[in-house]
Amino acid sequence: MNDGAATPVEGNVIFAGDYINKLAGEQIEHEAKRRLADGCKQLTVNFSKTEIINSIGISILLGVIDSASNKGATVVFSDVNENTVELFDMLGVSKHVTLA
Amino acid sequence: MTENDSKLIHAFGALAELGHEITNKNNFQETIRTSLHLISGALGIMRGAVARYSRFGHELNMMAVRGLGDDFPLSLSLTTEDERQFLTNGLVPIDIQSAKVLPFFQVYDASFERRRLELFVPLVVREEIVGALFLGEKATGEGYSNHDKEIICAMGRHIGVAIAQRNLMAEIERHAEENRQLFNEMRSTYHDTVKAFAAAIDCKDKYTEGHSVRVGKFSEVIALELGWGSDEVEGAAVAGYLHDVGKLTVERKIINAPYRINAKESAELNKHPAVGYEILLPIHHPFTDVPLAAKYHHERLDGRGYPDGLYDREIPFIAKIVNLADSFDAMTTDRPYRARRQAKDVVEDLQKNAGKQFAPELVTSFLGGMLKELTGEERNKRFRRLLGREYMEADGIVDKLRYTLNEMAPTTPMTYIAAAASVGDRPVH
Repeated sequence: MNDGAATPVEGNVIFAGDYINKLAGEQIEHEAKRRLADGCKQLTVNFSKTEIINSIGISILLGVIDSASNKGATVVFSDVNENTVELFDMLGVSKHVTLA
Repeated sequence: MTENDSKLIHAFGALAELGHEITNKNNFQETIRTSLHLISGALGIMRGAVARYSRFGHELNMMAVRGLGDDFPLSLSLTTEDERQFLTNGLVPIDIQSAKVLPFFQVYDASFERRRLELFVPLVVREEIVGALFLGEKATGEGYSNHDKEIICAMGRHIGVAIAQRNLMAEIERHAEENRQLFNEMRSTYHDTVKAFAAAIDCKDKYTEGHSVRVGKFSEVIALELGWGSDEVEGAAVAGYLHDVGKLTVERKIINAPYRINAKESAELNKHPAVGYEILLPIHHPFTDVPLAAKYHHERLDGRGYPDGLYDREIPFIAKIVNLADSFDAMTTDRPYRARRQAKDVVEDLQKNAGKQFAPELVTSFLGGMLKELTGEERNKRFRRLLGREYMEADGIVDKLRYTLNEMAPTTPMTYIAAAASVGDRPVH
């Protein structure tokens, strides 16, 4: 597992690392804010490599959702594994994003 | 596993991380920021803030804010009634509707409403207000359950304790700073008093004006050259300033006699070390050797000094320092019955009397300090300031010092030959 994994960006897709903690979460947040400032209206975060998201990671993702909502943008979380979907459902994250 | 079990496990994970975060010695502001993330992430809370209470300003100052917008007030003034109610309530979450009765809520109600805040938690630790949590709606859209509130209480307690500890540390640091300032003021007062005493002693003797001050400075030079720490150097200077305090009780006509005094007068004058000791002993000096320097600064290594005729190791080290500084000043200043001696002669005298009157290691340190100044290795012009530039820069003084130091503490035979040659005393080949 890579603590604080890099967050590559491809078009409007941000690729999350394997472990979303504070460091990795803040990288996603930074990329998201940059793209929203550029006028992006649909932000996609790809979780295909993601195995674990801790509480700080959840909080940061909620912040990203809130920022996008304030800018009138939608958020897509793609390739989310089953465990993470359960976590998102349990905490209400799924209500604010499109899971693809 | 039920959803409740999963929630509980997730929340416990966040609580464990919070404990870890708080016990780490991270930046405090960052710790609070992370704490807010942990509470939000544990329960899926969309927005919130952590505030620290200032008992001086009676206000809640925001330390971490998430999703509340730029116009959210960063400082909230509290009334006495607010504070009373916080303390009565304790660390228990209050629903926003119930919190509306608090006076400060009525002032900021519009801001809270706009940001959809749902829960307010006063952070009360050991019956003291330390801060507050402001929490917005949950991402699920559901209200806060009793389970949620219990988790918030547990996490809030951690954050409250962290703030209380930080307050305590700040208080300790403030007291330590106050003590440091007080100590420096006392130290400065002590030094002013010592200098005033030195001036009073010197006033009595019109021929040796400034003697005590110079002995203090020369003692300081010796201590510095010995590599002493700043406190010890200061102690040596004080011992020098006060070494002649006993002269305050000696008749002025004896001290100022423009001739060599007779035996009776000499006996009277020679009482001043013991009298000085009696004067200084009851004073609580930061440096305990100061009275000893006054008592024994006329002792000699060969036992021919006074008042007790002590030998070498019987003489306190500080007294040996002051003795050297005192003698050096006597030789380098004009007296009513003789003019001051040339610097080269003085160096020669110190060398000749090393081991008899003076401790040799002190003579080499002192002369070494003088040489360093004259060669520019030491930028502080201590000797030149006290004895005059012309006096200290007399021809041949640097060579004389090098030669003397090589003789007293030779480094290598080659440097001995080089130094000897430079003063015209070429060794036989």
